[in-house]
Amino acid sequence: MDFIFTWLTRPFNANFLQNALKEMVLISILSGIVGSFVVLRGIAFIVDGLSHAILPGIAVAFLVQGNLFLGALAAAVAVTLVITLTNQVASVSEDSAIGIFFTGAFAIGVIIISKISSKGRNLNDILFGQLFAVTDDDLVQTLFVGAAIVLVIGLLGKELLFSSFDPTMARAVGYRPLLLDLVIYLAVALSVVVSLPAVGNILVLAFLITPAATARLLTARFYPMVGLAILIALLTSLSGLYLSYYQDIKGGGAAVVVVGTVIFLLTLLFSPRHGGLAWLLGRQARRRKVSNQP
Amino acid sequence: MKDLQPQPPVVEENLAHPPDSPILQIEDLTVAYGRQVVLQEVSLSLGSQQLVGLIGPNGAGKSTLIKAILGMVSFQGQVQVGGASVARNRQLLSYVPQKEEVRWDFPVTVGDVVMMGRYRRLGWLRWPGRADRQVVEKVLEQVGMAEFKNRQISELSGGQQQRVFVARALAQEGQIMLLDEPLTGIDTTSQEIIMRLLLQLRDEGKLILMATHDLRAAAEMCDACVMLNRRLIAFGPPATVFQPQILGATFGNKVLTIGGMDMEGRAATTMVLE
Repeated sequence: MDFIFTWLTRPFNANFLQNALKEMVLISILSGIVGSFVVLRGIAFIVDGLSHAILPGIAVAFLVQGNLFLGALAAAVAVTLVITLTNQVASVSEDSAIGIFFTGAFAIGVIIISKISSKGRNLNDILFGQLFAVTDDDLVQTLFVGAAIVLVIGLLGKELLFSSFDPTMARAVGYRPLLLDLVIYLAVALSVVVSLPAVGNILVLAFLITPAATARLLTARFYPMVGLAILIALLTSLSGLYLSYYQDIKGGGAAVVVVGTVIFLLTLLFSPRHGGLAWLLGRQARRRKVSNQP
Repeated sequence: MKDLQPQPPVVEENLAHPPDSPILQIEDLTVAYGRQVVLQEVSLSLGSQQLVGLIGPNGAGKSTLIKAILGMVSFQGQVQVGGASVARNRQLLSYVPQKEEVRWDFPVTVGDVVMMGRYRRLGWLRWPGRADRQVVEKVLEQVGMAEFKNRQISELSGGQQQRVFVARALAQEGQIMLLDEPLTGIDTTSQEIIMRLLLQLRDEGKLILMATHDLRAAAEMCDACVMLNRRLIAFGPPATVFQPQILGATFGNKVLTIGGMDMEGRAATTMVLE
């Protein structure tokens, strides 16, 4: 027993790991909630693009030592506008436009950062995060921005759920789905930005999508899904932390993402509702039934 | 889509008497998607306590007309609901959209969906209370879905899903009910339940406007029919508008009339070829 206890607690005697743990708990709660909307609306691809597109904003903010949020936000808004306009004017489909402009913005960001990597964080840290270098300031930032996002989503919960499920009807009863969409996109963009120091802006996508998608496999109710997504995210983060501590994996974020992916795959196989195994067994049962018929 | 006829025969005969106090007034309604004119100069005036069929082939603009009434598409002309704009009197409207437009795999229950009909009445930052839950129970009872309240919506048959949609519209408690093809592609039990309910709601004083291409159902249950093919072709009781030349003008050459119509305009002998 003692051995297990020591094994479990040892990492957290180190100060840097305590910060990492706290940050992971905050991000897990945040991404469980925001991620549930991302998964249910089927906007993972847009979120993927958005998280890449904010890179130049962050880079410029670094360059002028300005506010990271404002930089990210400005970039997100600018790129989204360009895509919407392109979509209106020319016969370029929305997904092509997203592919072109989000990647383009990302590449500009990479160039800017590689030019200024001497100042503070380098390209690798921004792209993949540095979980074990999370500062107290980072924590406070995540706490306050995260709380604000959760509060807004909580207050607009029923409207957001309605417009995600049935946008046509939401419009018919007088809501402006565009406004509610904007709330979701803003929540996603801000979640990406606060998660940046810990997991970077590429791996953050896995936090926003994997736990919620896993939870979806396990339940057919919305609120339980959000709760499960948070639990799964916590389980994932903690396991990932141990893995990276004992296996000495740099960064830490990558280890968490790998654990999350494995949990998703296992759920996909063994979930009683939608699991691959359940499906296979069901198919065999069906076959037997068919062949038993006279 | 075929071109509009150059000369406007528009209203063959406006056979229904205009209501004394219309609850829904449409004047010179024109809707265009880009350069494509979908509805042209439609005028209609409907009073309470009527079940009105909205009849026309695919692409006739039935859905568009309903969406224009709801203020979901931009249009030229005027729509007045209860004597004022839709924006002001939206609470008078209940709506049953086509069920294809929804993500049925969404993790919500039947009860959740019906409760959404209450949201706008509740307003922002307020949560459903006991009164709302009672309304949900009541309307689910009305469509015969009470025992399905806690089911996830993807577990329902098409007809049951449609009944849930009707229940949600009932929960909106509007005086005007707009239904977009509520009888299409569902089982006969659900069809009968919905039809009986609509007649009952009409008797309670509501105006019901139902898009359909089921001429037989329309002939049986509607007080009046709006014959639509991008223009208003005719408006009046089924017995008077279900005539060969009006049906021909509405459906183009897609209507086959066998043995003509009897005096009550029964459409049982008419087939729409689509």
